[in-house]
Amino acid sequence: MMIKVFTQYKWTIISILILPILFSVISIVLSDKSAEELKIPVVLVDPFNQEITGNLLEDMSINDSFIVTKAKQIPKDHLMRGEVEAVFVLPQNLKEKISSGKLQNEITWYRHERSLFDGLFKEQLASSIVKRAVRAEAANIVKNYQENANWNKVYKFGLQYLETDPIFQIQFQTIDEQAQTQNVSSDKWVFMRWLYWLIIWGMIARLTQMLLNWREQLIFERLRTLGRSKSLHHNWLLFVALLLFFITLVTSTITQYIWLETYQELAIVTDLSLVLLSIVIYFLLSTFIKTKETLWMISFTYGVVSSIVFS
Amino acid sequence: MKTSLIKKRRQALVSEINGQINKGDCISLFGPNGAGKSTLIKIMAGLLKSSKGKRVVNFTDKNPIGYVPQQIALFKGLTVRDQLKYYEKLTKPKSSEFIDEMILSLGLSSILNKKINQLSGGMQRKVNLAVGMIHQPELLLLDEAFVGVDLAAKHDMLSWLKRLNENGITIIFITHDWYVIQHLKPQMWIMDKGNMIDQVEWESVPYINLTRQSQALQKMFDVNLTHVN
Repeated sequence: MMIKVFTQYKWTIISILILPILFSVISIVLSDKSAEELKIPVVLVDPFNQEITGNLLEDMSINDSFIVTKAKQIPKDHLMRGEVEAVFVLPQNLKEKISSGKLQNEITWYRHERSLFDGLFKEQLASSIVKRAVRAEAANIVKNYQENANWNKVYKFGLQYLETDPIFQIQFQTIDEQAQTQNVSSDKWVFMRWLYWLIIWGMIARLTQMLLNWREQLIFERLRTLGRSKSLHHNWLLFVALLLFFITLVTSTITQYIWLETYQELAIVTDLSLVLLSIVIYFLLSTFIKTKETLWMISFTYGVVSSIVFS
Repeated sequence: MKTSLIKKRRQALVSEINGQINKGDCISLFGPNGAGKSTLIKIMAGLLKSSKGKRVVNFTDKNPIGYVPQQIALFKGLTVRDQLKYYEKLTKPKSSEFIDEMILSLGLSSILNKKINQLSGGMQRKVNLAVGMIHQPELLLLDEAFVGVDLAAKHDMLSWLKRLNENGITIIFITHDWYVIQHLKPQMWIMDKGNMIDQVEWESVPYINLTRQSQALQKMFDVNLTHVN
């Protein structure tokens, strides 16, 4: 029966119940974005829309440290704004030039003064092109000695076991960068924690408003004549504590897992304790607070103060 | 009931009220606004404590008092059925037949599945009354429980209360409605400015000596007695 009393406020309860889902979605969206922020944006310009550009892009896609975009024109504005690390312009008839081994000064490389990692991409692109050039050269030699030989077949398999990988493999896993990545995630986790705290604080205020409403409607007065006003107070305390305990446990665990990829038990215990303590504070305040305007003013003031403390 | 005194900012709200209420009595607290009627009924309900005097009660039940406040003290989002069930579980009434009879007598059967905020003011008043009586109290305290109720609904409520009173339940109520007084035929406790002026049977009201009383009380009597005549 008590559940029915609380489910009168179904939209408040529903909005509390969707908090973990909301925070999971926000965390996933933000964490994906942060992963992309660590990738190097590079543009491969092919004004002639050649088939080999697609093959090279496929080769590049193996390494997820780059975001390689294909374009027909040089994106000068993006390059100048630093939104693109580097631009590589491919020549006309690239496939033929690779096959004939005539590749000197054919690819143009644009970069800006803050470009750092584009050299690593150049290394990878060069490796991919040289691999094709070496295979073509091998196929040409075989074809010279054996006219019956199939050029494409030799090209496909020739020398592949002797071909080397690029000297630099970009993984962005150096100790400093890993630490930096972790710091970014940790900062965002703190932000998410703060955001959750603000929302949950408001939610506790909204739930406390139930007590004020019941008092205003004289329900407690009526229960007092039956000697049962405490039972509704205790049920409120139990219901709100259980609901927010569960929601905080789930949200705290999910956000930690997404941002930190680990569980800090102490942080979870702290979150739970703060929420439970706040419920008790609001419960005690509800005895003195007469109007809902005062309640929300206290809640708002706390929100502002906690924001200043957090920031 | 002995002398009661509630002080608010050093001003007594109710003073010098002496009276005895016996089982099966029907009493109306009658007087102008600010006479101290609601304060007195709250003292009787145990919601307020008097700074002097004492309230001596002698009940046999665990939950002897049924209190129906002036406001609609109900969970607005609950259905009438859930509302009654909530108080039923809380108070554990003596018999379920009483509740069935009450629902029938007050005409609540057709609205059991409706939420309180979907009901008219009169219907809400009926539910408010039903909730106050669900545990079959020995003493029923009604603080202006008939405000805004249409005649038909009022008739249902009064008939039911009359029957309860005849069966030994004590009723004390506040009303400004002479129709209610005529129907319940109570003993009148006339109050003014926190004092009890007189205790009379309702038929004697036209013969009360009002020479010493306030203009507000005089006006109240004039209006109501004109209505009776």
